[in-house]
Amino acid sequence: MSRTLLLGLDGATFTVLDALMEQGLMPTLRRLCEAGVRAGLQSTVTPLTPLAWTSLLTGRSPGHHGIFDFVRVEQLAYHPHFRLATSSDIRCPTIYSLIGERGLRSLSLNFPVMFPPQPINGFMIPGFVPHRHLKRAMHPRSLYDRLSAIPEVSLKELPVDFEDERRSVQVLAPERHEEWIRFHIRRERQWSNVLHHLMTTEPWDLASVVFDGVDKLQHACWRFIDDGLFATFGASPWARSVRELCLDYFRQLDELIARAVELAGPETRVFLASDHGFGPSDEIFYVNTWLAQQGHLAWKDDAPVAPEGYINTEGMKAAAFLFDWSRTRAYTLTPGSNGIYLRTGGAAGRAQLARQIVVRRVMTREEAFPGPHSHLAADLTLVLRDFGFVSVTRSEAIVRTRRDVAGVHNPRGIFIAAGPGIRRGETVNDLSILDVTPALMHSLGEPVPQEFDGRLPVEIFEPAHAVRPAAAVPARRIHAPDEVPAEAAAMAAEGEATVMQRLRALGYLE
Amino acid sequence: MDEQAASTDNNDSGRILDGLLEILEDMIKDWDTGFSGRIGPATSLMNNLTFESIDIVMLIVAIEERFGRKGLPFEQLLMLDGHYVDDLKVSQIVQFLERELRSGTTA
Ligand SMILES: [Zn+2]
Repeated sequence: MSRTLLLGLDGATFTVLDALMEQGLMPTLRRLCEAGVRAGLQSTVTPLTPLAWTSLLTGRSPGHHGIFDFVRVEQLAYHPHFRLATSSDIRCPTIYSLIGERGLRSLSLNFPVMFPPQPINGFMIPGFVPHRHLKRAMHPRSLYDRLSAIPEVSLKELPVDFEDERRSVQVLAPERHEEWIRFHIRRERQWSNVLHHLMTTEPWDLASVVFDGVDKLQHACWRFIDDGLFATFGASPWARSVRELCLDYFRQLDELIARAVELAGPETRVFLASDHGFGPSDEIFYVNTWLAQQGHLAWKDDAPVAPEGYINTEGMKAAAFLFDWSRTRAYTLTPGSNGIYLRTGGAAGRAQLARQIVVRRVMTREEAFPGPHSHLAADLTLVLRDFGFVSVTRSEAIVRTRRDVAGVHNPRGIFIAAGPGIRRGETVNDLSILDVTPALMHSLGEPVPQEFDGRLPVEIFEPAHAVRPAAAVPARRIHAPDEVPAEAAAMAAEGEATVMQRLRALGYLE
Repeated sequence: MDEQAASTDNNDSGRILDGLLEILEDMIKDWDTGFSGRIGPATSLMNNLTFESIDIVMLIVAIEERFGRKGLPFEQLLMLDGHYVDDLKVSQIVQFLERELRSGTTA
């Protein structure tokens, strides 16, 4: 077995990283590719942060682990509403608990859906936790005071401000670009400092961290990062300065990767993986507008219409607040999941509506998320032409050109591995994000549980390291499907908007 | 089964209040609220404890974990006549939980 370091780069794509490596801006990444194996990494069906990282941490597809979005949609009898998805919604053990039971120790930093923290054998700070809740989010709790005492660590800078986050995913004002990028440079350094502290003061077998500024920057600044696109508009000094800052972010990220790899030492295997990739989008698909035109959804009269070219209206209420529920049979609540829910109709209704939709691919939940928890997913999941996210806003047209080309998630992310027993300088065929977990287990000298949905990518290992029969490890924490409360209290149709209004602060809800 | 048992145990308002106070005290321990009194039924989350919307989201998570029930229709608590409440008192949450946890056990 080898100690194993997992560096998560949220939303990383070789489209961007290859250019940066060629320009000499990411020498460490380049060295790791040359010394190891690289491959494209295919994300979950919906290439969205919470499901994808959960798949990587559990080795299971969403239909098995039960996470489909940042939020969990509850189908109450009278109306749908949703709440934050949390670690107790994950129906499969994470790699931390699997190896923890075998006595191996983990460090887990900044992974989503890990709140409330699980009592792993090791240390955990979940991602997506606001600063005022960070202490309660740490496992063990004493870690907070310990980190507070370290001069290099500023705990206030670890989380993102959720309101800022929401704004950046939409449209970032020109004057805010610099501050946003600098904030993420500082923030990655903070996570790196925490990682450094724990790696040097605690025993560990698996150290893992997510650097999610990659995703944040690409959302807000894709057109500055993409070489070709930038050439078409980037003449102004302001545009050049934004691009320079973006490049500086990646340059500094490379330093942090170098720092972690060096600290881990030559005996440690290093894995870099993304949860999903990234790519450009120049159009917006207003899914609820399409559903309305097809007669499946009715807007309230006062539902605002998106200005042309925007995915949203400023200060807009949550989508569900805008529907006339008495005349709505199919609807989309959040852009991230690209999921359409049907209020009636079951499998036949799903199949019928799926045939009408004009996008790259429409998948029923049985196709997209097979598994015991597929009933928790949206009825239909859309794959758009550009792999981006739908807009849930009311609009005058179904498809519009974006005001600015934006960065959107893409299913093809990155995988890099290097270290003892890993082949050198190889590019292998794309892997699935579900193959990363078996690779990590194997690297740690642990058997690969039979119920894992991916496979051990033997092609990344030297032949002598590759083969080991998988032993069965029984699954745990499999709950019965949730019972839906049978009550049907009458209530104002506006009601469901409230929690969403609160959750909008989380950043991924329109 | 365990979840239902937990919510039955927590059904009287005294226990619910105690549980909620424990959550709130733990949550705001290190916040800069300027609130010096003891949290009680009359305490206002927004006015006394400086709650913002994201804190409400986190409180809902803590409540659902604590009482072993998820998907409670919190919007019933947070909306009034089609508008968001701009304040919320501890006693209102207790009343809401009393009602919702009880209805869950008979479902
Ligand atoms: Zn992501």
